[in-house]
Amino acid sequence: MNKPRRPPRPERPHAFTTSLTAISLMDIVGRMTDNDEPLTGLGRNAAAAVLVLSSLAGGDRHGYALVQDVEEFSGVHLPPGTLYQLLARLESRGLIVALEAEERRRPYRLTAQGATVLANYISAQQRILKTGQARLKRSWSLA
Amino acid sequence: MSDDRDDTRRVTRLLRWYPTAWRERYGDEFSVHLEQEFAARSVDFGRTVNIVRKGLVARVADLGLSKEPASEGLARTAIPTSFVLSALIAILALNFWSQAMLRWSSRTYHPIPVSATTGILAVVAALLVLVLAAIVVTLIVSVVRQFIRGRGRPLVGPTILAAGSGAVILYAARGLPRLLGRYGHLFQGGVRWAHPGPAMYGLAAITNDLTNRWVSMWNSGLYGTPTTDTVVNDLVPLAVLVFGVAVALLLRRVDLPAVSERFASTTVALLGALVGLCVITYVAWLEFGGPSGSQTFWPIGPWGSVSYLVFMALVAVLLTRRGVLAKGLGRTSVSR
Repeated sequence: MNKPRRPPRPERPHAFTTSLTAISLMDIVGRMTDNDEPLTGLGRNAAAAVLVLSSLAGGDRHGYALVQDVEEFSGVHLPPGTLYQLLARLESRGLIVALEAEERRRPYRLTAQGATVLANYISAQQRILKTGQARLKRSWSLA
Repeated sequence: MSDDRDDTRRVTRLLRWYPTAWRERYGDEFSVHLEQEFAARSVDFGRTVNIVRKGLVARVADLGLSKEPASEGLARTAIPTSFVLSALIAILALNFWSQAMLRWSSRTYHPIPVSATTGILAVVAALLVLVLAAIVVTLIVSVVRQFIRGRGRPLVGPTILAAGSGAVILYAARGLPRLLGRYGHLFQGGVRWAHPGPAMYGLAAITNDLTNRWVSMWNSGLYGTPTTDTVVNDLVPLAVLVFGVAVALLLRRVDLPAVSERFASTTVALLGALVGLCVITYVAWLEFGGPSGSQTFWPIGPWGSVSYLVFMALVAVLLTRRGVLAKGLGRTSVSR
């Protein structure tokens, strides 16, 4: 008699190379979403990248306008070196695109891929927040 | 007015930390951004540190050896750096091979592991030299073509540098005809592949003589009045380094054939793998008793030799990782 075949083990959505000590919230989110490799690949700058993508989700912006907008909605001031390193990385990953320069200032635009990555990240984070909130409420009567 | 001039000077100073290709792409908008930042907050030490630090990161990326997106393709960034590092290591590899071969040839009994590692070292060192020679030939053809087309102006500086340092290296190798005369008889009748001993011994002796003064970057001091010969001999390691940098500059500036970008990641990974094989084989040769049990084998002192091996291992990891990553990701440059 043929033995019933064991169901295949569910595959992890991503192959992670990070060590346990390097696991961050971004890695956890990476395991929960399907299309966020460009963000998890940014390592420590991933959180700042989310701020930049969120800002550009509101419309095209050049560097300084971007910094002001991020500061307004998050309270985080992005230093110039970090901002331009991020813009280069996001551009190379196809998440944003540089538009024609206007008087030496070059605006950036969120691409469709960038919007998808941001949406995936936000929905994954919402799931984490909802779970945390529900458990805090149930066990600790908090939140 | 003077404040504006001060700000412009500050911006120019800070931009110097970034590589040329980065400045060409982001320089204008970054300058405007910094001017606005300075207007809002004139002095901010943390901001200056951030700009300098990211500038250095961009410079490392510009060498093509990090995961950061470089401003240009892999053929222009990683190949020149890989070439310089691999060329320096090829000299070490040839010197190590020549020592191994001289000891192998001087014994009548050859334990199999020692013979095997000596043979592998010979093949790997030869392959490394061949890959580097292929890069140099491609470069020479591209440089000549660019000069013929009348667009050789950016190449003049590095070409002069390469020719000058190359002349010093050639002058230092002036003993080659004498060496060929001394060992030439070993090559007569061609290489007998069934027993290549004498010919290989001759080749190893010549290689050892030539590379010893390149590998030993320090000497025990000059005796008597320095002569042109001693000065040139002492300058050879520096000339080798200058030559490598000049070739790297040429590789960055010359219009390479379009196909070079396709082979760039494979070339970098191949160079890394060959350097890695050199280290592994040489260490295995040492462990298997290649140096004939001599306690004082290290040719340039234990610390110098260990430092060279660590350097080789680091370069091997760096190049292989870069080549494999570039091949896997296929993302090597910033889209313009």
